[in-house]
Amino acid sequence: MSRRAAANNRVRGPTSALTEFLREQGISARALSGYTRRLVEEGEENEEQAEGQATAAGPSATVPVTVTLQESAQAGPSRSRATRGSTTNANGYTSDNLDGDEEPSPARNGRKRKMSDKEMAKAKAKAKAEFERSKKRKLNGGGADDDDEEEEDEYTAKSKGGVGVGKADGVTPNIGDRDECAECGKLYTFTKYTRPADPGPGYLCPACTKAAGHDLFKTAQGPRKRKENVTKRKIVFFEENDPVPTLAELCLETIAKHIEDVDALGDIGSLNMDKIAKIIAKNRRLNASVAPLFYDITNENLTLYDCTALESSGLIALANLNPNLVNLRLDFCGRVEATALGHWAQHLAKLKRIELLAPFLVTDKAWIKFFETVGDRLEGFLITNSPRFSQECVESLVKNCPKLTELRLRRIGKLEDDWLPLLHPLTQLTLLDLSDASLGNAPISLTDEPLIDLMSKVGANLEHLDLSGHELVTDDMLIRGIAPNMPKLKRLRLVELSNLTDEGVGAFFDALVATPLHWLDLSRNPELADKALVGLLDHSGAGLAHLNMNQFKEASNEVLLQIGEKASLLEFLDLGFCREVDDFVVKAVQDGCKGLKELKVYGCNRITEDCPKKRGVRIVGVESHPY
Amino acid sequence: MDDTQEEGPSGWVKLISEDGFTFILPEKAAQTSGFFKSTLNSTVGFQESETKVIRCGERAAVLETVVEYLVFKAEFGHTSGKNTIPDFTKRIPAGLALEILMAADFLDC
Repeated sequence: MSRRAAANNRVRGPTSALTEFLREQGISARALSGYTRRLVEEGEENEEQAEGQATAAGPSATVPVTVTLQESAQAGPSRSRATRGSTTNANGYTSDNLDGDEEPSPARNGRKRKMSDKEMAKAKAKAKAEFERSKKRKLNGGGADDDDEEEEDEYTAKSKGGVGVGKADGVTPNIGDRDECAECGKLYTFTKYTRPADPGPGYLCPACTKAAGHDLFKTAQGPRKRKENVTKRKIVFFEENDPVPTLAELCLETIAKHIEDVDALGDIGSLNMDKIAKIIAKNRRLNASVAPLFYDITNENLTLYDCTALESSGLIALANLNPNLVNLRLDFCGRVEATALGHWAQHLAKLKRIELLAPFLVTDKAWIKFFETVGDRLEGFLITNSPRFSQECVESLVKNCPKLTELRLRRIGKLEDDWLPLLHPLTQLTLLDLSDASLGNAPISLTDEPLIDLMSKVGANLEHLDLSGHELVTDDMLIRGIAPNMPKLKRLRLVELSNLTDEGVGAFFDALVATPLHWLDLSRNPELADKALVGLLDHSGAGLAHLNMNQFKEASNEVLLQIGEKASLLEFLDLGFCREVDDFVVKAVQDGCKGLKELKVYGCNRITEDCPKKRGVRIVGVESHPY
Repeated sequence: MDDTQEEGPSGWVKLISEDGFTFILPEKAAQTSGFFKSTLNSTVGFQESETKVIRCGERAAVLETVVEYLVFKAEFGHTSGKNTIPDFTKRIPAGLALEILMAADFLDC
């Protein structure tokens, strides 16, 4: 009462959830009173019944419903409705006494106000119940349970009896229609609870339904709408697993199964074993169970191209099963650490050359211990990507391994000029690779003078030199360092030296004392052009088998046309991003180089679809080719 | 078997092994190998895509298992239930496993 008054005054204090809900739904006492008036006009039930229900409605919404339902079932609703005759209306199902909360109220206006209060209490109760229910529904994530189902069906579901079965005889009464009971012949109002007569056709009145032993209020299996609301997990990304693994995988499985019995796998020669090692690495399936395939007590060389799956114990087993190794090359050996390295040093008594890609777990102490143990046996030490390799390691290496002929310290993040004097005693070096010292963003570069000093000391025997990626290196280092000191140079790699100039490189090749180079990579030096190209062709053209001149952007067509003529032994040529390359250059190269196997022409957009192709030559990167 | 070669993957393909044995299999099955698929691709225009005859470098014993696998893959490649697929490893003779591995790598299947 007080709450209604507050609403009328438009003064709002703190409100309960129910009041809030009612306000949101636009339900007010005023609206309810109008609703009541309409019901009053239609209604003919006495006020006692209504009052009884209203009191019963009190706290819970479910109670009045059940009470009314029982009452009406006993009272025989169809008869009471039958007496009403003309007052039957479209919401007949509300007025056939099955639904308690829409009970008609007394007709007299004098009772109206009081009734409206009661109606409001009832409506509130109902709204509360509904609110609770919707809250519960939300909490449950829309899950359907039986209570909900019944309530849900109330307005949406079609009754099974009414529609489903009635279709058989073609006459299905609408809800609210008057129909004659198939059993007793009485008139009753067709509701959604109405059941079909068992032998059919026709329908049963509620009394006969009850007599037939059916639950009067059970709507049989309405469509379970809730089920649809169950939120299904939406999977956005999923990997479709091929149910059939590839034949290669199946073979590897078979091999792993028979690995103990190597004879069963047959022998296909050592040449092919290397190929198989590559295939297995390609499939990334080299693990401790497959690796023994490549182990042998007489093995002197071992190359594994992907050791990612080999754990420390597997790496130790490697040394135990191949005690006679001389050459060991392991790629992607990220799991090699101090124990494995120490074990190798002790147990591989004949080891002379070790080549590791990415042994980044090995600490500087472990390296030093390794050098001390291996001593002067070691002739080749080639590592790539080992950021813990420090200056002390270099000192120890030079001190303990004086016979070193091959040294690769590639992508060693700590490399600096101070290291270079330490290398001076290594006069027997044939291979020296100090490339790409920069790791990450910090540029690391050696400089000219220390390099020139080093070249003058160790250059005499060098056949392979790689000084790529040192951006501070200039032409001076080439002319004063490399050119006069390396008579035996065969392979030279100078990639990405941004300070080199066209003239300087031309002059370097003029001054180079070495015989024609066999293998040359000058790619990614965008300054280089005609003079460098003419210089290198004049000096090395006669001997070159491999030439990478990617990004000689400015090299002119005339000079490019000379490649085929002057470098007739080429087998591999990369002309990528040499803008002046056209069909005629490609033709000249193929005509001149009889042994050419591969020609790369990425980024040469003057080449047309019609570019000539010789049998046996692989031309890669023609942009106008459709495939 | 089927000398009048049909167009499209409904036809048949003849594989000739290194030692002269021939295997005939549905083109659809042959397409499950990456190598055969591009060989038979008519837009690239290899002779094989016209004649549907492919000479392979593998010997018959190896090629037999490969062909068997291709048909197996075409048959079960789209099955969803895992347990309905028979185990093909039983069809791989241990003594040939390495050779088949190399063939499988080359033929991309």
